Amino acid sequence: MTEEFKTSKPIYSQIADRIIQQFVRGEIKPGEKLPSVREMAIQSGVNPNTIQRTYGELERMGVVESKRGQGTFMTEQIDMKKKLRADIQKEMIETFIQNMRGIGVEDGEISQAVEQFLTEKEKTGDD
Amino acid sequence: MIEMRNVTKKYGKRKALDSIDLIFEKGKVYGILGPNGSGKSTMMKMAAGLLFPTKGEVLINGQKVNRHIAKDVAYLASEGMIYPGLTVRQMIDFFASQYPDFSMEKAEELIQFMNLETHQKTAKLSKGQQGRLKLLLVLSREAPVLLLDEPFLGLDPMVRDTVVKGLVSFIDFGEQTVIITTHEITEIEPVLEEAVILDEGQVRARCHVEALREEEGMSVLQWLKTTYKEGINS
Amino acid sequence: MFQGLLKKDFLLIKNYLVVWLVLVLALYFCAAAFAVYQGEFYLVFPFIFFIYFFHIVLLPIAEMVLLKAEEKGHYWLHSTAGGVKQLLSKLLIAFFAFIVSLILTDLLALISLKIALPQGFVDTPDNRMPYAEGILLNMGLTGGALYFAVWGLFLWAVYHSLNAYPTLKKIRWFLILAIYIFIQAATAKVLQIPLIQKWFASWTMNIGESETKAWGIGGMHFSVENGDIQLWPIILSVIFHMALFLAAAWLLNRKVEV
Repeated sequence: MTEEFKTSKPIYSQIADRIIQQFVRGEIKPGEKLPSVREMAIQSGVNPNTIQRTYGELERMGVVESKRGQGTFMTEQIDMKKKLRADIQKEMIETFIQNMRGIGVEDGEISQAVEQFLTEKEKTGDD
Repeated sequence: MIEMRNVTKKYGKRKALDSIDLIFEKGKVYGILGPNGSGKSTMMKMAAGLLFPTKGEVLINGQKVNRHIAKDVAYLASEGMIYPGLTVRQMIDFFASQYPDFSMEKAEELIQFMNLETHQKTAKLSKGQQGRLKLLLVLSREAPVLLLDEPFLGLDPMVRDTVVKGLVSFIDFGEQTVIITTHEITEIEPVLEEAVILDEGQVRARCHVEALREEEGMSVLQWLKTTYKEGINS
Repeated sequence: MFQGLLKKDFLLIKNYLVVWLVLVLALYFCAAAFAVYQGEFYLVFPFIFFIYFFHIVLLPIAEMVLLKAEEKGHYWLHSTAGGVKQLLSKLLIAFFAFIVSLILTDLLALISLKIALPQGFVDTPDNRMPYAEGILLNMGLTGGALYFAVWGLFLWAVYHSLNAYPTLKKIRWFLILAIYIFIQAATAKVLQIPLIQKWFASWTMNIGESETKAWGIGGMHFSVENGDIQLWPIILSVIFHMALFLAAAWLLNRKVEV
């Protein structure tokens, strides 16, 4: 199935985000070859130019490397994975905090609530 | 490249198209959006050489459009196109005999991709299969211009998905100029580069799909809705 | 490309043709059974004549079936073949169906004559098979059928050309009838001019028949006087109908819109 895209963000950057997330989760290994532009376009049901832009953007960020005549490869730098994970983490926290503030929860209460949530989870043994 | 220069099409007093000035650049994918009766189909038929402008002119790669333009234009029509008495194979052979740019190799690949049974009579095909066959017939052609008039009409979401994948797999991006008219924007939006809104025979608005998201934070569907609201309020 | 058109048109009419031929056979056998039952075999001939004369409309009907198949969406016009090839393919395939049916009818007529003549059910001079009459009949039917087929193409093209004019669209049946009648009346009028009559009489060919006959179709008349047949009317009518065919092709290219 072709995926749905969020309306607020360009499609090329949504696909870049998706690739980064897969990399951080380990679904794509460092140094692994990415699908060709065409294959990726077919998988995602988008215009190949969009994928071209996605790969260009990722290359600029240093997340992928394109080797002439061979294709696009995921970076092998371990630091990059760490950095990307940190970036995503930061972004997620930001959204979370903004949402909490949005419904009027004070900063102190937020960290309390998070801690409480985590300990409760441990007790019940839920994943 | 397709150029429409001040094109008007009148039926008696009614204007189906009203002073259209548009340029479709080579190798890009365009979407034409608009309600029924907005002139979408009229525009496609005109580019396919099936209708003649009352005023103005349509040029494809510099040639003035007439019946002969079919050699450079692969056109998917929303009705007609396939003969009910013929089998899928006979339809493919007929198209191959009529258009020199028809690639049998591509057609064979598309038969697999579209999952069609070649010995079946087209009258026996479901609506979805007919839609896929029509797409097969035009995508097998290596024509500089591809016109798809309502390729999703009457197709369920699963088939629409196949159609989109078929388009991405078989369009020669950067070489073929593609125009798609549709009501079903969601599936096709990621394939489009630019969109044009037609309304009552006139160009209401046009946009770059990615730029719209980047600059306005809107999808084409949202843009279409806001454009209409503005239209009603003004 | 033209071959592709012929093949497509053949496929479009194939089933209709088979059904028609079966119908002809069925009608013949019913007629034959009836005639034999009555003990009067000559009763089969009225049926054969009926089948023969039906051929005049068979060709235009076959052609209309082929044209009808294109009417939905008129996708056939999205083609580089052009009007002449498109319409010629229709005409040839319809003619093929017509000829196949005519040959079948000829066979049935021959079989019936073979049975009827020796038994004295029918009389012919010297009790001979009427081959010459048969050939004339075939030619006459073919000529008549082609006449209606070409007119059919032309009027069909006029009818569809009027699609683009909403005001005329409502009265287009009336218009094509008017066009037909007008052209017929005009031809008849022109043919009455003494100068033309004289010109026609200036070139004749003897076909060996001694009687005087005249026959006509629409506004045209052909005549045999003392075995002399006028050639100009035949040549002119062939040219006229070719022009009519080309006019239909021109209309299809330039005026018929979807």
